[in-house]
Amino acid sequence: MKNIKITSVDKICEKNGISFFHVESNKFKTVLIDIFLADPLDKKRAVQNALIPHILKRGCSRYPTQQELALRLEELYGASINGGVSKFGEYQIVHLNAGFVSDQYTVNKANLFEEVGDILFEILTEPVIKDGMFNEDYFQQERENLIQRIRSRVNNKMYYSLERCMEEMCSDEPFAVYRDGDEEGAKALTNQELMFRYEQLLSRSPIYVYISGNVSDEQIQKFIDKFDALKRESIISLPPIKVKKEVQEIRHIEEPMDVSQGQLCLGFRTQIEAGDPMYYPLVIYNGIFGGGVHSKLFQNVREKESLAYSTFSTIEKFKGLLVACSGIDISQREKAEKTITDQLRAIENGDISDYELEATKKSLETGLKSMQDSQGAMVSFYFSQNLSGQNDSATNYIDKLNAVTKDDVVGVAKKITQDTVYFLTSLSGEGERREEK
Amino acid sequence: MKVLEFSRIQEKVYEYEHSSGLKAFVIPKEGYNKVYSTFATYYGSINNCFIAPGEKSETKVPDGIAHFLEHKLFEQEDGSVMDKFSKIGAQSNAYTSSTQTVYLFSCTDKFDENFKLLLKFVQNPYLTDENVEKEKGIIAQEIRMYEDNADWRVFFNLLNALYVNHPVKIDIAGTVDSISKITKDALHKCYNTFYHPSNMIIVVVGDVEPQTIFSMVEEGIKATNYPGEIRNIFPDEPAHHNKKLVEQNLAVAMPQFHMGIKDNSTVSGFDLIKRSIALEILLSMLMGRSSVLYNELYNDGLINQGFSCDVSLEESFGYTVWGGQSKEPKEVAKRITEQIQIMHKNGVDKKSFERIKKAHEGRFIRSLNSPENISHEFIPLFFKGAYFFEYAKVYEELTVEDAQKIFTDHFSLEPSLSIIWPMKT
Repeated sequence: MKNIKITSVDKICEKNGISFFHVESNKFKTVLIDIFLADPLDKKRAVQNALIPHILKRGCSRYPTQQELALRLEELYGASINGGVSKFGEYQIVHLNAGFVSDQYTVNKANLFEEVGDILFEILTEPVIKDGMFNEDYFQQERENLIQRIRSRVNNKMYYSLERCMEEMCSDEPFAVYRDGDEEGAKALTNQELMFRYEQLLSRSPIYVYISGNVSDEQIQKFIDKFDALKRESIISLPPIKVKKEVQEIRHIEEPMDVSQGQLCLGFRTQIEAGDPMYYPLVIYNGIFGGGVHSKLFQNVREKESLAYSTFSTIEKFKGLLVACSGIDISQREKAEKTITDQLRAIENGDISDYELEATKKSLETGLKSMQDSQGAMVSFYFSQNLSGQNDSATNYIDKLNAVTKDDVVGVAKKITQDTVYFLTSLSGEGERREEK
Repeated sequence: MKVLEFSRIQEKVYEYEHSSGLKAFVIPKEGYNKVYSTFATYYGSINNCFIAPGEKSETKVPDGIAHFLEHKLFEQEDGSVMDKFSKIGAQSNAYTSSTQTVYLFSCTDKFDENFKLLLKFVQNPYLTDENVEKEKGIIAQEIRMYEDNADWRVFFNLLNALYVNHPVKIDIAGTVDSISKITKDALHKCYNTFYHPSNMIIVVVGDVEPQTIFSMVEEGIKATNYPGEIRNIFPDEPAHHNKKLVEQNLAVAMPQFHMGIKDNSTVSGFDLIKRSIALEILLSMLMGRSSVLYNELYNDGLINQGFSCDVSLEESFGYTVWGGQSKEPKEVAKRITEQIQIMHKNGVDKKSFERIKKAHEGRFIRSLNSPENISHEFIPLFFKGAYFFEYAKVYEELTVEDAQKIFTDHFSLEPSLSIIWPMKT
């Protein structure tokens, strides 16, 4: 194997609270443009922010319907424009993105970056507006789609349970807000309120723009200059996220649903912020506990006890949460819960094998190096690093993880406190099969 | 060693044949850190009845056995193979589809060690009565997970609507009942039949030297003679669909639906990818993002962004499928069926065909960034006698007249419909 190549992300400039980055690499056949707009997570605003990218995607002044837009994108070698929202701790991120082939793969060396870049910018800044409001049909249709999307969270039982567990843990904190907001909020939302929110988002949110791929400096500069047209006012600052919270007693939540498999999620507070030096031992802790096939959860809950097919743990970096999830037979709940907490105690007691520690480090290192082979993965990583203020390069991050010792991990284990047990169970509380109609 | 070059998309394939009949491929990806390696057998969930080489009588095995065997190969006499990969920093995995089983690892370091391990474990099953029994509990939970997964159920229910007899309609993992009948002997029988090197391929994608890989294959693969042909036995499948409609209730917020048409053609090699791409373009023309129908359904609130289409063509079966979420799946089905009739009447429009072909070509090129994706596409196509990168040639050659013929043939059947309704409250 040849030498490892790490692509750097270069910050080109920052003006009016808009930061521009270039992830430069010639090995890909594509170019990506990602635009992120950040807002503090807030119940009322969440549902508004969640609706905005979906209305924007419906069209812009040059291509006022999604059909016209789709026709144009097909001509541009099937370029895609996507958008949505995501949740990073107690920040909500509105995201618009364009992906298309590099010019060298087009027949007459078209200038796709300029063509698609223009469209993406127009989608962001020139929505279809009538009488100072969004096109009413688009507003109504997308609000209905949003309501359906919020309701459809139950469809994926594993993610639903994981997110519900974290929401229950933070029920009196902003974190409890779902990334798409809530159904009642969506129903009550008016077109006028949404226009106001959209204007605020454009004028006051911190904005991050990532350009990935083989694009010349001149092309990039031309794209950056377009943003001068945005009317920017005083930019809001994202408040720090409260991570430290004492747990008074463990809460038990049971949610019945018509399912044949139970989902058991154990939620923990780590008390460790993303910027804390202990964050790196926490990442290793999570790897040993439930981050992969070498982990204690996989080896014990799955391989040894045959209790689950899917069993893992995950960290919510921004909020300092740790959750262990397993899809289990409903009758095995107690045994599963005990097996999971036994693993936790084991780490706390320093019962960590060299294999567990080394395999964790290597798997994280492989992941970070492999990330360099995907433009999308690099953008996600660097954006998240930027938002959390860590600003580690991939190499830096690997070094910090490799420096973690067993004692560091035990130190983390002693800080971790159990907060909530969430169980998605069947309606009868027993495993059952449904009949086809 | 043979080299195939695809200059339009700047990709190359190095090919090598081992004396056992196994073929190995290297697809170079300059500048990539990760090497993605796969070892695959042309054996999946549909191969549940066969005559093994040198035998006269049929062997019938329990449903889900190919997938079960995939799980079991990871267990070796000296422990779990996954652990060995993780120890040297690689991520290993495997998947079973209806037609193939694929073992894989990806790594950024110690490639040789990992690659030798892949060759070794796939060629050395370790099965005991105890470890076969133990696996049943894990797989039962995997099956249960899919029972609650509406996306999966709506798709398999559609396959049930399309196929009267063909085993593609059976869940890949089988049922809790069928896997309970799996024994060590049955697993050995399947292994010995389908894991002969002549039924397998190796594909490595990454920044590697092809010659080094092929030398390791030369050494690492057991030199055995060609045992003769495996005769897969599939029941006769009528040309018509099994059912018009299949419905089920699950804990979902909004109804989900899939529609599809089975493809009765028997093509392979280059013709298969040509037909497959033509069908993909036709689906986009009928109901893709730029179509009149998609936009009407969307504006009427009958579909959302999740609506999508797909084509699957195999040697013994094939189908087109499309679907998503809808408040009124039956109304959507009616309008799509009408739209197909309109295209029968008006013919395939040349201008839209060319525009959508260009878009699909662009998406194909975009997919070439991902080593995983290249492997996932390359393997099944090679088993069917084609090279994935020949897609580029199809986009150059495919005409609207070809598409018209394929449209008239494939869309002569009326689509079937599968619906998952929310639970009644």
